[in-house]
Amino acid sequence: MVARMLVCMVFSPFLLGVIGKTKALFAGRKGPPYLQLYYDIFKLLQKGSVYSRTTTWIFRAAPLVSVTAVLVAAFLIPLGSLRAPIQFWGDVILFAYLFGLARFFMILAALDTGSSFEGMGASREAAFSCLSEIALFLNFAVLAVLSKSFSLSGMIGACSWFSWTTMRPSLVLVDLSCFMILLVENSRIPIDDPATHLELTMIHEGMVLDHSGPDLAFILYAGAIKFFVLGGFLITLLLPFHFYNPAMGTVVFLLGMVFLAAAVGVVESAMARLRLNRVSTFIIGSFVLASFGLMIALARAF
Amino acid sequence: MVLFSLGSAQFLTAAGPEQVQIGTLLKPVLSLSKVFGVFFLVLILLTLARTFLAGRASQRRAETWACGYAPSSPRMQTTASSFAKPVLLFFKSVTSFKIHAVRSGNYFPKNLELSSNVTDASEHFIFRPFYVTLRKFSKGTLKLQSGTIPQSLFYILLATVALLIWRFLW
Amino acid sequence: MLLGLDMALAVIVILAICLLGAVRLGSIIRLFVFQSFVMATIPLMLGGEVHIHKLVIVLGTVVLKVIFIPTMLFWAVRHVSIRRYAPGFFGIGANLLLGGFLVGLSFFLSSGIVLTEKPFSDLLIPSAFSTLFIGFLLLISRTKAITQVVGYLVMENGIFLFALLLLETTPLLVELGIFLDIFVGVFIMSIVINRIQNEFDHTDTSRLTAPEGEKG
Repeated sequence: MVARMLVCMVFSPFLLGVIGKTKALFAGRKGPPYLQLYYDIFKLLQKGSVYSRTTTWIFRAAPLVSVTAVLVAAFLIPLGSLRAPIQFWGDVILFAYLFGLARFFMILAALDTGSSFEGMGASREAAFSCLSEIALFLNFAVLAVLSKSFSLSGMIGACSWFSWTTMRPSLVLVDLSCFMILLVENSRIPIDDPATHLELTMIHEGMVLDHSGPDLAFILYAGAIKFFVLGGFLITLLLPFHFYNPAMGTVVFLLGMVFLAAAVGVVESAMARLRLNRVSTFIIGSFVLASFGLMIALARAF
Repeated sequence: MVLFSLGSAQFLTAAGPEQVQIGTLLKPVLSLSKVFGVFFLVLILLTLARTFLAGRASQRRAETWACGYAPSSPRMQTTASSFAKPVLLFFKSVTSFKIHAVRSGNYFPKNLELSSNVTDASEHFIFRPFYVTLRKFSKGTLKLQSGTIPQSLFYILLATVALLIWRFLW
Repeated sequence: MLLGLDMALAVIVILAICLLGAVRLGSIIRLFVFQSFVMATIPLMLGGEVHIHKLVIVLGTVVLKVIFIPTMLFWAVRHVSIRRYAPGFFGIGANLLLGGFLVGLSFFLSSGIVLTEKPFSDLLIPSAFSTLFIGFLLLISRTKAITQVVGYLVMENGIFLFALLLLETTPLLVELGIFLDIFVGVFIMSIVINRIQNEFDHTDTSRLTAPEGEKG
């Protein structure tokens, strides 16, 4: 179990480096090195920090709660062939709301600074997550129907080779919908631009404008782990077979994660950020895809 | 369609716990306390790490940066209505969200007012019509219940005649 | 083989839902082309021998709906439309949700239909109904004439899926008759759209109900 958490914690910034390199490949540049996020985090950990005079303890607590919530969520999901250390009936709800807790504290910290930019980013982030949680829970409902269990580890059991052959349209729809939700939750390109320099187009970036030093390092790290956790869930859904040798299973899983990061990089290079009223269309589209998968699953299960 | 949804709801909830015993009740509490334990452990470790790191470098206080624009004043804050605006815009068809903007001059307005309001759906469509009809009805019955004695005597007479007719002519 | 059929049917409905969310004329026509192409390959996936009947249907659909009609539609778009942006009445989000509701309705309806022989896949009738309904929704909720033509063609796609049920017993003549129908229909529609454009300088059907004064 310790090895599992270590893999999770050490490997996640590498994935964001893969995304950066893929985007650079599409743009014809060389791009930042793969380990860039590690260098950034180490540099920021050694820097001093500047706190605004209007902020309170919430501002200092938010990065800590953010990283903690996402790390605890990493305890709940099965990664590849490795089982989750903590599993119980209904842990999907805890999973979704740990992310909600992290987001809640980040929004509060953004509003704490009393500036209008952070407030604007916070309100948009709250609106998007309001819609994407519905889609996420609908996906969980489809997996619950397919696997007849409400625990995350049980749901992965729905994706055996057998169910891939009989329920394939349903699972493909769930995977598509989960990929779209991954883009929403991690503030990637169709929803939000992680590399923008224009304040008016920042959503997640806008929320973290005033953090500096170790706080900012924690926030970047929390973003990397969130990508790893949600992407890990998606990859475990996609892999139709399980290995008995945990090392082999982990290697295949990590390869799958790298491939997913490259796919996100491709999507980021091919699309532009959507207009704000089209973002709701995007999330509703993922909701309708998940509901279509639910209907197929229900029609077949009867 | 109702039967279909009921059938599928029954199917979904059939995946629930079988019998409720003390052991079954205690298990979720135990797992939740496990999760809380892990949560607080990691939180304390991170706080210690952050305090240690912050002790080594400088910490100072300054104005809110906010990308270096004008120093913030209370007029520039994010109010509750501006925080709620994106969600209300998404659900525009359901909440009837209206924005009123008043400005003087077209290109360089001297003053600009912006206000928004949302009609409270339950008050507007459910409670208000009910209250209005109830009030109209009560006003109508006020004529019948004026409280004067001759009117009450008249009602007594009416009731007696009705009882007599009912008893003797049926 | 049958799994490919399931995936193809699901892809057809997914594309129909994406059509509801598309606003640009170019992307609407391209989505329709992709959907027709997937649909044209379905008779090959049904199992059974591949006789000349099936091949003719596949080739006919490909030639007509993937090559010929989209070319005409793109020609019409180039010559007729100044604004290539065509949203609908209720708004795109409501359209998408309504489309999802119609897909659910079609699943419900098909659970009530009892056929004498089992169809090739249990997703065939629901996806046929869904495509039909979504084509109809596209037809009534958009204002630009070209989008309405695409909605009509999507409805024809849904009817084609229904016709696959009777693939073994339908004579080729009926299929050819349907093809001729569609061909003539789209041809006439394109000509009418061209005439409307020449007369009124726009093809916005919501503005066609009230007369706008004399035109020389």
